[in-house]
Amino acid sequence: MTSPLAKAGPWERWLGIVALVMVVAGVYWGLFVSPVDLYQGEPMRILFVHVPSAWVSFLAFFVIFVASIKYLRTRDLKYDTIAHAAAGSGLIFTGLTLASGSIWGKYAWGVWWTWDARLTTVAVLFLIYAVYLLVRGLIDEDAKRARYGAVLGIIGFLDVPIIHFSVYWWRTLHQPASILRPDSPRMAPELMIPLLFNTAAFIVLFAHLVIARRRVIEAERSFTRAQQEQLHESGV
Amino acid sequence: MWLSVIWALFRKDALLELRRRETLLAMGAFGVLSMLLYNFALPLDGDRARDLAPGLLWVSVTFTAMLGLGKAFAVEKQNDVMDALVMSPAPKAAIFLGKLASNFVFIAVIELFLIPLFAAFFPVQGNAPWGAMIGTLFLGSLGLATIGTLFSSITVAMRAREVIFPLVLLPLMVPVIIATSQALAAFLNGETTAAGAWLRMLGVADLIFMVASLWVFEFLVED
Repeated sequence: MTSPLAKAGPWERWLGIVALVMVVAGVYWGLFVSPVDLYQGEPMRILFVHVPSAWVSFLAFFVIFVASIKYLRTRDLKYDTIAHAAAGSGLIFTGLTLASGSIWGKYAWGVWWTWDARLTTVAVLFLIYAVYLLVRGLIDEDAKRARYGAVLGIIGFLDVPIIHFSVYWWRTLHQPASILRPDSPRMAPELMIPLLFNTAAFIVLFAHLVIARRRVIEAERSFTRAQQEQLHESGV
Repeated sequence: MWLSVIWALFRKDALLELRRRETLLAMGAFGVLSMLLYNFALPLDGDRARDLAPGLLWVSVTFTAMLGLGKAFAVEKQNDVMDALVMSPAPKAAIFLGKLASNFVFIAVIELFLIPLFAAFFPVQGNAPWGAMIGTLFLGSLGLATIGTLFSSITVAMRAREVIFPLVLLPLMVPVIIATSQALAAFLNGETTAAGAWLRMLGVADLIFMVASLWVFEFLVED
């Protein structure tokens, strides 16, 4: 029997190395090389963390959505494991989006929190997927956990655009949005290119985390199974 | 077939409720209590009451509805009724619609009961468009009941279901909470156009929830 805690496969290892190099390079680029917007000053550099993590958050929830549908279609636990792994990693990036958005908000708007449409949407997303992981943790049976998780993953994802539009309307109908959103003229390429580079770095990092997390989840599953078999054999 | 399944399930739940009066009594008492508490906790006088009232009404309804929705499937769990239902030739979606029908009607009954109290407790103008507001409440309750019915069928079998059900339901309900409160507020302030826009959003949300729930419900009950 091969050890369930088999070492990281080539994909996991190489994506990890590439992610490390890219993130370090992206941080350096964003902090020291890229110029700064005249009006927004040095704090705007947090953009290089904030925007990529926001995109990766949405990507993660899209992965959960697709994997959930594939699970319900095929009943292959592989897809459920991918959804589970994407949720854990996606939650980290969503948290990072919220934290960096809040820090930016303190600088730009003078408050830690504002009911900006996008910030609010991300906060609700964070809650939905935290609950997704919580629900999964409360179900012991593999197939049942996978099915319930898939349903929550699908409904949660379909809810995202409705949440976004309702929050957006709610804010814009009540007060002019201009104070709340830094008006974004076309972004200069000197900013755009490192931003895209950082996004690519975060996506590679996310892929690495999902693969690593998936390996751990599978190892945990076979450990539990082996434990149960042992209990069974010893006649308990 | 569909209609008879829906009707049979609804009739069963309604009869049970008429005999035991558990859910509606608890919901009604809770609804009244929450409105009293708002009056104790918040400075609800004059204009302030009119600004706060629509949101408070809908939050009251949401929490009250949660009380009933959370245990909507508890009765099917006893004596394995759910297993029998699933094994029967009835379409799964019709079973869902039957449970949804009784949940929705329970919430609607509570709303009709809370509305006059609301008008008395919160000094809103007497000439408020009550018909439009009740319609708004019903539209909001439909979304609430749809997602509530769907996830109550999951959480009923789970550990810590009393805690987990609101945690699943409330974040998903954010758009319904916003749209319903805003539509109610708009009607109270005589802004019919804004109210119409919110009602459309509510309708779209209800539709998406309904279609998605009908699709995924069969996966929830298959064992």
